[in-house]
Amino acid sequence: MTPPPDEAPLLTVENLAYDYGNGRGVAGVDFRLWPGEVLGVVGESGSGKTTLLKLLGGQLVPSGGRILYRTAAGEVVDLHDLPEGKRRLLARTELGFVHQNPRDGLRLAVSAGGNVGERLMATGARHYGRIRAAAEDWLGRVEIEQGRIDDIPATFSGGMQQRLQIARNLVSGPRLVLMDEPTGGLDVSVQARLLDLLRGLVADLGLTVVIVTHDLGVARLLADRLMVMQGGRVIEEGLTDQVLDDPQAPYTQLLVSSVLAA
Amino acid sequence: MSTMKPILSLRGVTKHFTQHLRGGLRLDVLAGVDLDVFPGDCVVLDGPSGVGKSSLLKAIYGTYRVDGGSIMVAGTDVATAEPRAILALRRAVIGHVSQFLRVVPRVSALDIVAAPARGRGLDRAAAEARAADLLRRLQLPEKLWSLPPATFSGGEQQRVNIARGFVVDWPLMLLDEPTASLDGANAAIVAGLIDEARAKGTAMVAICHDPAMRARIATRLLPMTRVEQAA
Repeated sequence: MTPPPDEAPLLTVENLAYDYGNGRGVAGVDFRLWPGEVLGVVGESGSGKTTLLKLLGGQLVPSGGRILYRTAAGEVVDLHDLPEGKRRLLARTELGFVHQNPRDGLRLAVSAGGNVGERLMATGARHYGRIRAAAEDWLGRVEIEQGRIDDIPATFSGGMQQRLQIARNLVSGPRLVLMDEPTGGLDVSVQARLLDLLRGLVADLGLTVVIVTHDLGVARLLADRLMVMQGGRVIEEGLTDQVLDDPQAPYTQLLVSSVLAA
Repeated sequence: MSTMKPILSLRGVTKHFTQHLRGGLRLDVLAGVDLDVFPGDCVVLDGPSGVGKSSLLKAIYGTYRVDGGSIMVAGTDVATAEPRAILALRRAVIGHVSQFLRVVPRVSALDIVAAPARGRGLDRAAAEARAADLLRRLQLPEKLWSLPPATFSGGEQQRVNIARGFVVDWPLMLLDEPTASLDGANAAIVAGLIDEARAKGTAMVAICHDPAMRARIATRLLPMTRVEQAA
């Protein structure tokens, strides 16, 4: 009755490890991610979740294990065993990375339109009119007035900067989007708007996402599956409602029971 | 009936909770539950509070992991399936009407109701038309449709929840007290929706404490008793 979801995973992570040299880092991380899935990574500060994301995004080089990625062309590549040029091209075309602090993901001296258009130019677009039209379209989709297209992001509020960073990442149609606490630094009312926007984009575009968050409400709203990290290891994983409503590990039970029900 | 295959088949379903924050306190909630549910059935779980009725529904939906036994739904064993296989079942086979609506910020009642139909591949216009039809039948005032239900009354929220459940012709529906917060007139409308879905072949497992409603919708009862607690 249900067609077996038999397509190949987009991402296969095997025994991944990173050592900061002080006993901290991540170890023994294994998971697979299929197209269209949203995987939430939860855990407290220092649990290794951002380190994991940086390994996936190529900002850190693993000390063990590997990350296999299936490209748009159907080729399975080891992300950390690629020639630098090819890795950069993939990072610009197929991957997106949304930083917690939008200033880490934006070019602050370049206009909003330029920030969005830059990724298109990096992927070969040359026609100015079309690039500007795409930028306008994306600013609209992330609810930034088109009249702000020539303003620099430094004049934007935090919520607007975060929405601009999301537009900059999604304009080139990435296949895998990594998000590090995307709602982290924002006021609660601004968070709700951003969450709703993200939820809609993920559903409409069928994005495959790994989202790191310490906010279990954000995880419940956006993620299909969760991994719980503690001390650099994945201690529990499953469907989001399984992990949040029937947590097994003592630490997950503590994490879930510590949240105030709003 | 004997030639029909069950859409849901439980064998020996067993579940306990270990509460690590309370010194590892063990609570046994389900022990060896067997059940076959066929298209058109409405099985009402029968027993007082605390016998594990909600736990059983959650185990069938995959929210609760079980210790042992099998939960076969349309050829997939929910007890052992990978998350994405369970997600596929939730998109195509199992509908769930929970006791309370989970409100999402900024999403309108109409969009909440239409979402499962869109998840099954219906285009926006067709999904919204079905959603509107159900909200009209459940007598939710049209001026509320474009609003997020956070500020709705309990009965209004529950009608949104029920409309969301019935917007798709599911092979299997799980209903947890679908009419508890509704008045008699609205409860009768829900009973009508249940009849129609059953006539189209939907199988149902329901929790329903109200005796009149239960007599109205049940084709069978599954008696449940409290599990003996392991020492």
